[in-house]
Amino acid sequence: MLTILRDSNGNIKSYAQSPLDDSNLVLGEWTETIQTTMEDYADRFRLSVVGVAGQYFSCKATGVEVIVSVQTSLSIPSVELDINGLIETIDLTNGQAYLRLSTETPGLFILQPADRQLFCAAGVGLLTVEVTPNE
Amino acid sequence: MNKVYKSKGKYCLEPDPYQAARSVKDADVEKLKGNLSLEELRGMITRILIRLERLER
Repeated sequence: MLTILRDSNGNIKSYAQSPLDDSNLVLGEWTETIQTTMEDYADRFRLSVVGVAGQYFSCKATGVEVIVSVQTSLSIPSVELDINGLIETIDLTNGQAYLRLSTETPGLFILQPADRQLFCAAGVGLLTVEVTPNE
Repeated sequence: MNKVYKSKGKYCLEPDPYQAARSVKDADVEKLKGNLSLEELRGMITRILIRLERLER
C-alpha cells in the first residue's frame, strides 16, 4: 500500500510506503492510499541520464550533449515536461523519449513533470543537470 | 536559474551574467597589470558589480 501526499491544489508532494499517520497536514494537504509498490509508482515518471535516475548529474561545459531519458509506465502518447519553466510536450514511443541538453553554457537544467497532479516531481521524477565551467 | 531555449533539437541554457562575469575573472586580474581603456574599465566594474550582487543575495 502506498500513501500519496497532495497539496490543496491536488499536486502530488510526495509518496511513502507508510500511512503517514504522524504527518502534520497543513494548508489543505491531504492523503490518499493506493494499492501499489514504491517501485511501480516511481516508474510512472522517470528521468535519467546514462541509466541513473533522478536528482543530480554534473558535467563540464565541453559541448558534448547530455542525453536525458524520459519514461512513463502509463499508456499515454506524450508527457508535459518542465525544463527551467519552459513547458514542452514530449512525444513518447512505447512510453519513452530522449532529450538532448546542450553543455555549451554553464548553468543548471532542472527537469520535472509539468502536470503535478498526475506525476510527482520528487525522487526519480526530478532531475538536475549542472553544467560546470570548463576551468 | 538560467532560462532555456530550444535550438536545432537541443535544449540550451541562456548564459547567466554571473557565470559569464566569473568565467573571465582571471583575465580581469591579468588586465589590471597594464593600462586600461575607459571601455575596459567600464566592463570590469560591471562584472564586479554583477558578482557582488550575487554575493549579497
